[in-house]
Amino acid sequence: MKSKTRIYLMCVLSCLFLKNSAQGDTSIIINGGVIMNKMLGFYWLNGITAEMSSQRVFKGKLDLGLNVYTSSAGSAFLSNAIPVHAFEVYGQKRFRGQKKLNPLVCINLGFAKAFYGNTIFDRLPQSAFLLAPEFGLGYKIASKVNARLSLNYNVFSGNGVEGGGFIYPICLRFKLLFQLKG
Amino acid sequence: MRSVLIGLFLLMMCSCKREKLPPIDDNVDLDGNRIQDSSLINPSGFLLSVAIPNPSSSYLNKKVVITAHGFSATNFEWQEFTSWAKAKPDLILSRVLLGGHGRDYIDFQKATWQDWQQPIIDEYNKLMSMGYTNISLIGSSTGCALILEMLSEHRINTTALRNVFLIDPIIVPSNKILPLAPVIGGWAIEYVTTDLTTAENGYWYKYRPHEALKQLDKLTRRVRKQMEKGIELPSGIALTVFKSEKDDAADPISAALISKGIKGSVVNIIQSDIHVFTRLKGRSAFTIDDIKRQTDAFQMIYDQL
Repeated sequence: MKSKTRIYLMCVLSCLFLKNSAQGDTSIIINGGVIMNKMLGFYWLNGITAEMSSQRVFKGKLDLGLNVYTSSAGSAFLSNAIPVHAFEVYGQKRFRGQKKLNPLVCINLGFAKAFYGNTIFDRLPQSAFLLAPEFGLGYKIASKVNARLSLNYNVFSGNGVEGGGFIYPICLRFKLLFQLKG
Repeated sequence: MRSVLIGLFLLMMCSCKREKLPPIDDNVDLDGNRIQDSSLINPSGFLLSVAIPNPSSSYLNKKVVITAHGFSATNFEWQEFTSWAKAKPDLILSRVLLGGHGRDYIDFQKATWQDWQQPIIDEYNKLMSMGYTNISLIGSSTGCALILEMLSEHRINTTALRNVFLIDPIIVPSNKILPLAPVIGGWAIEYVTTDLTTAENGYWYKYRPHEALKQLDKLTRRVRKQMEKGIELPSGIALTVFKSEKDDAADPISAALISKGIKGSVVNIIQSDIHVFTRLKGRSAFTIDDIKRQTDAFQMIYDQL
């Protein structure tokens, strides 16, 4: 199975898992929206994001979510940049939940793959595990609309000898989320 | 209380005395004011345009290769290729010293990437105006980024250009902290110290000022964006990349960016973990296989001229 298909299949399965977990749960809140990532010194990678919280999961104190983003919707859109596709699941804690401005901490875990477009590069690392702590701020724009700005640190960035060279350590992240349920 | 603590912290930051100048040893380090690249004292031993100001027609028919070394290096980086090429009567090398290089720390600190690039353009233009018609460019590491930038911005008339060879080009640095140089340079760091072997001392800058790192960051970002847009090579010019598959200075992904950005370019991935695998002299250790890879690359380059 092609790696690109595998990444997106993982994403669909995660959504189905969340949907099944959510059935019959009236306390569930689901947010969905767009995510924009700028790796400092490298590409823009954009995509979609969704998160949920429920009284059944850590008593609603923790958000669980997923991000799917790609340079094909960023720097590689209509350009010769390398397509990079990434998938992450995350756990997130927001503070001052009732206030407009919420500091947040988050831990992302995932997988990214680059497509160099030539078999000559098969010996180079083409995939990378993502482990990234994230710190930021959320802002309630309206009752069901949230904006988030955060900085995340990819623990496994490439150093030319090991790891995918397309993963830079510092990444600036913006999310715009709409409350879809709850 | 909190504001007092913040104030104390800021005061502490301001009072921290950072050394602006590194501990340069003038007797040993290229960064000092006693040692400089030999091409500054004896340009005719390096630059073809100076060595033979009035070339005969037999000279003009020869294959000319202009070499461009890497960041913080000197012409020493191409010394082995020069020695190898002496056995080829139809081949002449012209070794260019990048601007701001081979001099001293202050000169390196002041120079921009445009200054680094200018001597390559000048030598090419001089040789072309003298009548040479078979000129090739070969770069290592940052020298490659400078050559790519030249081609992308049409800074030279390519009528006499036949080949471009890139040895371990840097577009994506292996050190992914380099993009932070403009942010932390000047207050958190003044310079970065590099470990050199005894044999390398005097041929490379040991101390890399944050200003020079910022210039390197600017150049690599610029070339990356040029690759994203794409460069169309004029017909008749071949571009060949040689890239070590493990490289602690220029991330191997750099070769993939060139392959995507320049249609028709040829990439050779070399099973080496040496940055600029064509330079072995002065290294603390290398193997027989490394020597073979070096001479194979020289031969491939020569065969293509």
